Amino acid sequence: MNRVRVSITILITVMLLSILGLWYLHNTQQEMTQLLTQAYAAAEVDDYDGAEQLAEEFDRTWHRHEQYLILYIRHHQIDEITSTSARLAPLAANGEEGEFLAECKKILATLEHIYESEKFSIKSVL
Amino acid sequence: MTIVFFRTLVLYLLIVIALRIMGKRQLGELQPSEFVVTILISNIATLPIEDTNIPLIGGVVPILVLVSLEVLTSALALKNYKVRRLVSGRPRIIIRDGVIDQKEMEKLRFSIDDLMEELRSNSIFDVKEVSFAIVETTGKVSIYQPFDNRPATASMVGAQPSPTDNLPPPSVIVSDGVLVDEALHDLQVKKDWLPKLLKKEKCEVKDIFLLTAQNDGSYNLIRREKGRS
Repeated sequence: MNRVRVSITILITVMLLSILGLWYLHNTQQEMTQLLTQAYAAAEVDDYDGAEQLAEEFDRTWHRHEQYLILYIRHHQIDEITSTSARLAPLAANGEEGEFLAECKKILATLEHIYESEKFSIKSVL
Repeated sequence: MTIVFFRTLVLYLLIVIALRIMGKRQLGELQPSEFVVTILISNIATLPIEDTNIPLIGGVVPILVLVSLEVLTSALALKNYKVRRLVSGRPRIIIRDGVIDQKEMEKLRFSIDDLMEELRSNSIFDVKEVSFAIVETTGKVSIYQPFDNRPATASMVGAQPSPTDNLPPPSVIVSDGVLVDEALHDLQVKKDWLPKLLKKEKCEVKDIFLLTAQNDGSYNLIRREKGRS
């Protein structure tokens, strides 16, 4: 019976941690998407200073979340966002609008992909 | 390299704990579900070791979930006969009074070579020498022989036991120079039995390679060979 109790405890703990992880990922995705969308909009109206500041803020925020996400998200997906994020501020500073917008879209798509693949859905399970 | 080392260390400890939670069955006696879980665990554990892109938790969580589910399933099977039948199946008779049940063997996908191999491993070379052969849920074959072919037991030949025949088997009291306290306690002899024995044999515990003893005080002492540390 002791083993049964341990097993039930493990299962409940894993389920709670899974929900917590998904909740954290959802919040992170929302926050990062909002920041990046603002940077994207600023670059579109040629506000490169604003875009650069937002890109730097995105990078800082991402590094804060990265240390937790790396615990349960495949590392190559995290690394992809980290390396692209590092390019955003210099691209905005040099006014390279096309490349900046493309990199923003790439990060947005990766963030969406990470969340979709972790979210509980028939598509993800299959 | 260090990442791989520490990941291996963590997963090794986890698997040792997981197998302790699963219980003590030997590999050859595993039920089908236990066998599958054991193989799955060994495969899953290699993933985060081989590929450092996979978070360690990606190996830890499935192992813990599999072990927990296995423990819960076996606990449920213990309480409920239907669950037990569903998870483990039921034993099947493949030989009755020396006649092979070919249909049953076909259902079990058990070949005649498999059957003969099992019989031979039980020192039986003729199917006629078998009253019942039962394929257990673990895949082992249990054999019940007719009276004429059964090994003789003491009661069959009417042998009377001597006073020492019903003693418990000898316990290991000293193993490679180390005293096994629990065995000495279980032996239920007087406290001064061992010091007296050591005095009589003119040796110390560290000089003994193996000492076994029985409740009546009889013992077998093998000294450590000279030159061995």
